[in-house]
Amino acid sequence: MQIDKIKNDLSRRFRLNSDFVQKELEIGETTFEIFFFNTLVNYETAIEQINYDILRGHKDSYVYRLDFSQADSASDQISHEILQGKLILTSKDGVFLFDTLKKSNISRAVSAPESENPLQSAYDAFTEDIDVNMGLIRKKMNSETLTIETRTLGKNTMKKIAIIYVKEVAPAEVIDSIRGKLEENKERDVTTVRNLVRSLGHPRLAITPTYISSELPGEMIQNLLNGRVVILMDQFSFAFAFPAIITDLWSTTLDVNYPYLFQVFLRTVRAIAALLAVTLPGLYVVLNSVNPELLRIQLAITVAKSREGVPYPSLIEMLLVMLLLEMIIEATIRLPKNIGPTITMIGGILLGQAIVQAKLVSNLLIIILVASAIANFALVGYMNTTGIRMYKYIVMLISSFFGIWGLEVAMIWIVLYLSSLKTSGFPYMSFSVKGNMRDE
Amino acid sequence: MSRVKVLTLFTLLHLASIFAILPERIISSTSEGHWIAILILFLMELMILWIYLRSLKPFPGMSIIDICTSSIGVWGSRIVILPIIIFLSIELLLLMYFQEVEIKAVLLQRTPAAATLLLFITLCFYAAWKGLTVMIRGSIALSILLMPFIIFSMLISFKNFRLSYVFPLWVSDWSFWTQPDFYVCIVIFAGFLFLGMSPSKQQLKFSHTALTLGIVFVMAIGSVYVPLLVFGQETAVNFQYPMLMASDTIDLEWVVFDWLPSFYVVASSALAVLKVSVLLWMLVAILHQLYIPRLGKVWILSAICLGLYVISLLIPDIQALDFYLYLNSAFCVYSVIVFPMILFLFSRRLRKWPNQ
Repeated sequence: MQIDKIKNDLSRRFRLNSDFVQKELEIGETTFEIFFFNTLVNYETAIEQINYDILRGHKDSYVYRLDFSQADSASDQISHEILQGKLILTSKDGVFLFDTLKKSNISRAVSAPESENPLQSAYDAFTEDIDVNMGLIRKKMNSETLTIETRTLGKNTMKKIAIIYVKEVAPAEVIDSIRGKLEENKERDVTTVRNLVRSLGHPRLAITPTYISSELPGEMIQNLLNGRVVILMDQFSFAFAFPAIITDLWSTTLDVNYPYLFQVFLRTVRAIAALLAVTLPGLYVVLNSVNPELLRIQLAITVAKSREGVPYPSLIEMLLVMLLLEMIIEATIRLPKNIGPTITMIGGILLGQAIVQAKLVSNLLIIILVASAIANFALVGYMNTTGIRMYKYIVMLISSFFGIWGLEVAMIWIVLYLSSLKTSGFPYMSFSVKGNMRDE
Repeated sequence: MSRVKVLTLFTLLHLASIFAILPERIISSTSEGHWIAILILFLMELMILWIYLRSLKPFPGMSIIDICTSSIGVWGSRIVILPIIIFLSIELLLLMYFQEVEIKAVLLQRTPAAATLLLFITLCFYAAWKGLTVMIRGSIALSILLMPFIIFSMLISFKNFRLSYVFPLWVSDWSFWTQPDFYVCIVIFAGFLFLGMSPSKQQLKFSHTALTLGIVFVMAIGSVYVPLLVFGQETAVNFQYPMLMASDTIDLEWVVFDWLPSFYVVASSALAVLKVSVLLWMLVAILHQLYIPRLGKVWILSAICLGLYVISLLIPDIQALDFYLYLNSAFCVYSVIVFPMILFLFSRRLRKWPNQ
């Protein structure tokens, strides 16, 4: 009775899908009806295995009987399993689930990273399959304390995610906060990274990313050892480490593969770059239009000379060229590798030569701009640089009104803003996630 | 809250007052042996700090207001804390206005004062709105940004030092006790008041705090002696901003900037922002907890900020504030010397009869 209802339910739900298969199958004396997606299940192997299991009466069978405590949710549960790539068998005795071997030809093999260029580290990268990704992490860290919790989120589209942390290293309040938020929002659909971050209850508007993402398992292992919680999403070849803190602007976990002194040097360079990327454009506006008297007189004259013939105030000049630069950066990111250099060349000629010769902007501006762009990309991670790229406009605007005092206010403001950020109950302005370097 | 960050904020707040008033007031209150006056000030602060921390120690997680209310009730505390409210209000106004004048004089001659003030107060509003915790957390980053300026602006003028100006080392007439300017300096103590307001369960050790105060002392000595060694007592006493003038005497070949006093103003105005924000936060916290609990903190804060802004615009010039400066030193003495002692008595009483 109940089984008939389930069967009807299933065929009604999936009947429009051409890859949904529902057919009768005789094994021994029993007639089963089977349901599965032939795009997800390798039918031949599955049937072979089922035959083998049922006829031999194997102890470690892959076939389980499903018991339903609540009849109402039964078909929901079953259709969820089918969507996960399981095979369902029904007979008059009950409903069975066969945990099939996944169809292997729709997952990519583990390969080298596409978007990151690690020096001196392991070269395998995450793939789309979450089980493979969990395996990569397990293989790289043989430890009892490594904990992997998986759960499924969403109502309309189910998404499997894994929460990974190292017991006793990751701060308990971060784990609790992540668990709690995911439990609270488990009905919410998670298909994009932003969905995930919203489900974790992070602020909607923030100029810094609340997580670090990477496709390198080696980097994630370091993050785990540094006390972060890593979240993997199924069908997503990046892992996310929570929470992000201020030092992520200038340190990558791969730095630890270098000698200590090199690491200190590299991080110092990047930290200075962070400061320059924010302040340089603002400083140009300040020294040019509001407080030129701050400069040594020879330099002030040079600056003024280089702007000779430029018809608009330095803020407008700056904004124009900034916009151009942002467009060049955006344009080169998504272009195929064989067209990219063309844009770089055109951009270089345009920014470097033509625009200056046409007296549209000053020489010095180009130098400042390029310096700030380079400084910007010396930071770690594309996500981090975008926040700084946005913030420098605010710095520029305030500086153009209030000069050096405006620049200073903008810097104090960003420090206060960053200090007020908290992700997963953890302050952004901390120097380390674990140990007693933290502040509360 | 980590101790290092609290102590960093402690240092920065002290530096704020040191940069704002200490050199000119010390130089005008005594003409010889300035270090003795500074040393006496700091020994006094050390003693009061000990009393203050001592009275907070038995009650972790309680602020000074909690200790007062549980000891003498709400009305009693309102009366005891009222002078502090007056002190904070006047001090905020003075700090803001002096800083505004300095910024206007040195950095932004053409920008109207109303605009500069607006920016100043908006930033302080933001900081006070985010709360003390955020300011404490940001203190390390701020000091990394500011310390180079502070150290730089103090040390660049060493080339022009004339060491003979140090003498006379010893005070002959001890007349600085009678100078009102000496008592104005007590306002630097206000930098420790926030320790009793921070919502921390972890307590500061007196030894660490004393050590930090030692560092502040060295900076204080520096701030007074730098202009003194450059100009000598007779000249320095005439300046309104001796430190500023001292850094204006230098011409450094290798710095691209010509006008070095701007470094000093940048450093001191940033410190002033921090101090105003902390005092503002304290004022709002006290008002909210003791006097007008029904009104939301943001509203109190907005009202105070608006009031400060309007009053600052109405002030005709800096001389008009001199009266309030001396008036406030009386309230200041109460807030930073008498009040910690009262608090000590309350704390002892509360420890003996905790159920009262």
